[in-house]
Amino acid sequence: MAENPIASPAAGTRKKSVGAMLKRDFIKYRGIYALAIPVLAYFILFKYVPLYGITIAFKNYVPTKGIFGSQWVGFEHFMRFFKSVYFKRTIRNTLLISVYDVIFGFPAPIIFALLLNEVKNSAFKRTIQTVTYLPHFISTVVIAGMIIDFTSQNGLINNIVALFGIERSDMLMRPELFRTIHIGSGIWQGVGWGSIIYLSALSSIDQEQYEAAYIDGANRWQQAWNITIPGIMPTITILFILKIGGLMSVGSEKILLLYSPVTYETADVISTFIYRKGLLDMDYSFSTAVGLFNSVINIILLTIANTLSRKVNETSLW
Amino acid sequence: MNSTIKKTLSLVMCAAMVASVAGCSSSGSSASSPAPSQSSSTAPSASGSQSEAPAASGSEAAPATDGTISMPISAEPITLTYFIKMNGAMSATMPTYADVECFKKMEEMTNIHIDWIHPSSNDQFNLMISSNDLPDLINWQLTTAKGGSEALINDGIIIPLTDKMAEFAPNYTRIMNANPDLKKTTLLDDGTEYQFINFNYDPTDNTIKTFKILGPYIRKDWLDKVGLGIPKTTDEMYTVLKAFKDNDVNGNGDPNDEIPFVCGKSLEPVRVLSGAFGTRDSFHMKDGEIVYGPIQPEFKEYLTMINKWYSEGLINSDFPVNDNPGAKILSNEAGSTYASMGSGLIMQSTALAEEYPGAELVSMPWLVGPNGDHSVIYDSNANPRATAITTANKHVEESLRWIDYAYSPEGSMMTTFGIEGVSYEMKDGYPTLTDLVMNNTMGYNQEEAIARYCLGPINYPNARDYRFYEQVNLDTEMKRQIQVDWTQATEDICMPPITLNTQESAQYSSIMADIKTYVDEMQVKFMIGDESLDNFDTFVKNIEGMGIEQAREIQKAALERYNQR
Repeated sequence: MAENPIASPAAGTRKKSVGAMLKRDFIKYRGIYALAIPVLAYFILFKYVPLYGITIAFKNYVPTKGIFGSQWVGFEHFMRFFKSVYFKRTIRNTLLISVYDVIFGFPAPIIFALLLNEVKNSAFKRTIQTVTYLPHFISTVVIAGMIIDFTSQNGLINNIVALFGIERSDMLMRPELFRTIHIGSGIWQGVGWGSIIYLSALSSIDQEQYEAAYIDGANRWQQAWNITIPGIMPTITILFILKIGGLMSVGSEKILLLYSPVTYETADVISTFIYRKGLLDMDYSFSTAVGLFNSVINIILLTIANTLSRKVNETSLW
Repeated sequence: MNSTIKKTLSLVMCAAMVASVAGCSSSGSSASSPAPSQSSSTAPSASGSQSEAPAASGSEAAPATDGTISMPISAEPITLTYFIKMNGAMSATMPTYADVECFKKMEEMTNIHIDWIHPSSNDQFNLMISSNDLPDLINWQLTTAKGGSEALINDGIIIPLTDKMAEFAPNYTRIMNANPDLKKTTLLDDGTEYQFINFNYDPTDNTIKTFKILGPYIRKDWLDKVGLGIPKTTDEMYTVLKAFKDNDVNGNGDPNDEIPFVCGKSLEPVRVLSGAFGTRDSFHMKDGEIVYGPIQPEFKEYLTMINKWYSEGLINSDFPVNDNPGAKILSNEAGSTYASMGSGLIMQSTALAEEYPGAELVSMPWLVGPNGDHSVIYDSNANPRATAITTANKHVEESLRWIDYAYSPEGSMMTTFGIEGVSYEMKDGYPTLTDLVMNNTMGYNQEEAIARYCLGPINYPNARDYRFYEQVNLDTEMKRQIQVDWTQATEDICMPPITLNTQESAQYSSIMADIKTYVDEMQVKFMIGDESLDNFDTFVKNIEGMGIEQAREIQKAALERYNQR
């Protein structure tokens, strides 16, 4: 199932007349093709058409002159970003938050799914699942409000750490804690939801393998290690590649809601930098340039991860 | 089957839970941080109500005032589109300005129909400009557009009006010519006229009145408890705050829960204190020169004082991340802060006194610093909301006359007080708001009731009759005292509304973006002691290294142009 989840129209590789095949296929399955139209339209209209707007990264965009009418300035905006005193810091913060998120956030739902898989009482299992999904449905603004309350001096988390004799503090004012709060709350919010895909992969593992292993004398640990994990490995790989592809993009919403000048030092990432430049200072061209730079790095990372994975694991996106 | 039902049920439950959680949290975090704005503009609310709609039949045909505007303005009915932000009190009771009685009447008299466009967010102005889908009239903080209002003219969004003003907007021209200082703030550097602003106008002597609506306030009952008077200087303030801290002034048995001075994420209450040192965290005037505040020695003194207050627990420890400092006032925990008059002081003092009998919030003067500095930090007349005519407008002359009507003696009365005999009456030549709007019984608050008939306190381009404020804003002892307290400080360090040209503003914002981030970050660190004040010199050097002098030159050149207007 997970071998090629994003199915490409494989027509291109066939020998016969491709056009004729497509035509026949199209007539035969016209209903199914019709179903694809809204999705296609969505991607073309909202994902491809706006791409021409990228050109403003190379222009001095003036709204009244429009995207086509604005003057070309080449790489000026990119140079400005590279020369900015905050260039290194935003890149570093972005990468650190991402890398920590990969280290701690990525395995969390996998471990959670494996644990859940071992639970035999289905009522208990369902309750746990429902409870852990919940935070996913709460909007980021509300989540951030909860985090602010939890981490405040008299908040939940301070009450807990105070029990262990650690001094209370406003945790959101401590730059050294920002990443922990951001990633920790991210795990709390996403672990249940993220585990769904692994649970479905787990359910597709052939039960007979477990029986065979049991007869061969494998204990639970050995079963998990030799059957379960290899069984969901393709899923893990695909998701990992996607994760690497997003390494440079840390969403701005939650950070914007949680950071303040005191924590810029660890919290200011590329996307918040773009937000301040683009929306607050209306420096559209500049923020587009930064965003484009960000995307290019992401694509490079994605390609590298995919290639590596294809070589090592024989599983890849394309 | 059964499991499907279970799944559905659990989903519904999830949704319900999420909704309830969302509801709680969002209401809890509705911020009331005081926004910095100009010191002379929109007024606060009070309470009152509304009654039966007036007979809006234009029976009495409007006589032209001074023979300047002859009605109707247009023989043929014409329609104009008007992009203007809707005031909160208006939007609470009606969908558009078309329902305000004074606009209904104006339409009858002038034969000009307005299609109102009310943006729901600030982005809409930029969107409108970028899509080039222009209305006939725009009301906005035009000077804040990218490249300033000069760019709006050069880019063909709005039109210059210099050569038409005198002929088609005689009333506006007359008032502006009588008040050249105000007029100067509305022009481009080359003297081009292009916008219509709102001001408080006293028709009896043809002058402009200003109102202070932002300032500090303090718990009078706490002061009485510790036997101290209203502090006038930063030293006295320190003594007072210290006394608040050390005593159980809120009388709940816990001597440690008082927050003597409360501040929020916006830093406004703390920032205001820099005025007592004759500086602020942006460009300001000093001995006739433009300087950048954060690199001045006074700024270090100011930071040192805040740091001292903070380290001694006189300011709430979470202020750099607190987004609702007003809550601490309302929960009887905070002794002093700074905010706007209406939604801050007046609303809070009423709510506080209801909850905690005996609690009394009063205004206090801006503090005088150790070196005798006593300045407000907000520029008046900076970035006013103003109306301009766009290039899409096909009826420029009629539009000008229509706008100018709100500045004529009669139009000023109508837009400020509404309909004579309904929302106001002339008593001995003094326009007096009637009970219909002042003490209405329809369940509106006073501001909403007024808003059904006229613009009253709302920021709309008209000559707002000053006598409106005498009735609504100076009607209680507290409000009169506010104007006494908050008007004492000077505007020594304030800057006039200078304008940068397109090229300058690109260069300026590219330099200042990094500097601003750095200053925002460092000043808080200095205040809370994350960064030692011994490093202030390094801080100054870094800012200098980031090109502050170049930015200052740009400001200086713009100021020189302003002075020559």
